[in-house]
Amino acid sequence: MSKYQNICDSMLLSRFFDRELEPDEQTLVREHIKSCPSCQKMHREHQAVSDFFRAGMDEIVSQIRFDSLETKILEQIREKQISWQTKLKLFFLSRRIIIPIAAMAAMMFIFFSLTVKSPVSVAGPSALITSFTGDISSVMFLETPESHQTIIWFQETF
Amino acid sequence: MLTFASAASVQAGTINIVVKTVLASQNTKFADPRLSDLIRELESVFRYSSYQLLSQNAMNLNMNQTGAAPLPEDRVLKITPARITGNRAELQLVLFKGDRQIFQTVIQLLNNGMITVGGPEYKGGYLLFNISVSF
Amino acid sequence: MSKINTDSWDDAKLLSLLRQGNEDAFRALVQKYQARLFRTAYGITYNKEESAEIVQEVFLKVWENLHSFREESKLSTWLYRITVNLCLNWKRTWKRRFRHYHQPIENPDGSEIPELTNDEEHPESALQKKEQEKILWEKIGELPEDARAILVLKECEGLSYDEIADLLKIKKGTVSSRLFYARQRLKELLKDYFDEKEGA
Ligand SMILES: [Zn+2]
Repeated sequence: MSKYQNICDSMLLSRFFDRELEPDEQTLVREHIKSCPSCQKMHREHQAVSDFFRAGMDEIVSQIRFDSLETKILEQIREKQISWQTKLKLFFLSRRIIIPIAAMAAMMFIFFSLTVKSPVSVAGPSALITSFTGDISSVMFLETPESHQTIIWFQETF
Repeated sequence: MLTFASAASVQAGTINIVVKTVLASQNTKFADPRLSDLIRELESVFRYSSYQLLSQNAMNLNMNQTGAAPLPEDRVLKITPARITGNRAELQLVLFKGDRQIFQTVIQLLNNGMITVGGPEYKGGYLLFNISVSF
Repeated sequence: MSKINTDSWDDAKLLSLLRQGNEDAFRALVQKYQARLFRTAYGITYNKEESAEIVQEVFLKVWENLHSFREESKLSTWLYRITVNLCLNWKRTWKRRFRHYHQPIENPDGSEIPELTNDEEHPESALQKKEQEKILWEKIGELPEDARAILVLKECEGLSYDEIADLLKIKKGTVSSRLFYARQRLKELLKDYFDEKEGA
């Protein structure tokens, strides 16, 4: 008992209630409560407050349809995944816009000469371009993302 | 020597080539049903709302024989198969506009494969030449 | 939604499956924690709609940040931490506070206040009691949010002071004193109610 000046302390009881005291302290307070009506009352109040709060919360939680919340969450996750795919698609979309514009911008009116050494690959693009020469302002070699169809995009000189 | 080949009968050692001239534009929303496979492919790279088949030329060529596909605005695409290497046909493509040569290229195209060449502006859109081969 | 059998999945197993992008594991995670996180969120926000939104947001964050979760703390602690942080920083916190101070009697949800007693033999006193409980429940909503956060984590989720301190990034002593303060307030609020109950 010498450890505490006043064991009838509500703060101490609060920690006792939460089992947050050291084991020996826990035992000490438990023993004390048995013989102290004031602490017994505090402890009862403590329990009542806790019960009231928990019961209220449980009641609220019991009103929630968690299966539909789960469905919503999973839908959102899938949407996220789709938006990722959309982002990838947008990347290709932006390439789509660039094609004619870049071609227009590159009007240098030069004699264009280019030799492309394509990597040797059987399952590669639909067409390997082994040489390309032209009196054009620009040229681009593209491949469709899925089945690797080759595209040559050129801009004629004016 | 030019051969304006039509849907000629298939001969051994020859190459069947089909050139489709397509007008791609944003003007309207139209997908030519005869181009459905091609459109699906092109849509992954281009953002046009309309794909219209303007003409189609089929030719059956021997090695080193040149076929020509007439294209809009006095353009002509001349195609000459050079050889078969594995599952690819080596083709020389030369595009003319009038007397002027626009470009020439050598490509190795997969059997039953296709290449699309495009770029010239035409009627508010762009011309695409889709070349497919089988041998 | 069918229940995922997760009997053999502890949090470590769940985490490793989650990191492989396993959707079943994600569903299991949702099933295991959604009610607990909802209760935690409700304890702080006192609003069902917001709490449901927050729980959804928590799982989205978890899905997106699985790679950054370090196993220094438990998976559950991480989930509670995200939940509490979202609640305390929720974009409509000001609105919530406004509602609390301007609609003191009505439940913020506009829904039925939980019925805590079942006193069918005395319908009149039952009604009175219910009314009283409604007011009391509303008064709990007037406690500071951070105090309610600690209260719900302790009373409902059964977390230790250390765990609460860890996830709220506060000292253990602060947990202890705030919890004490919150309970004292509750005792004051509920005093008459309990006295009546004991006297009845
Ligand atoms: Zn005492």
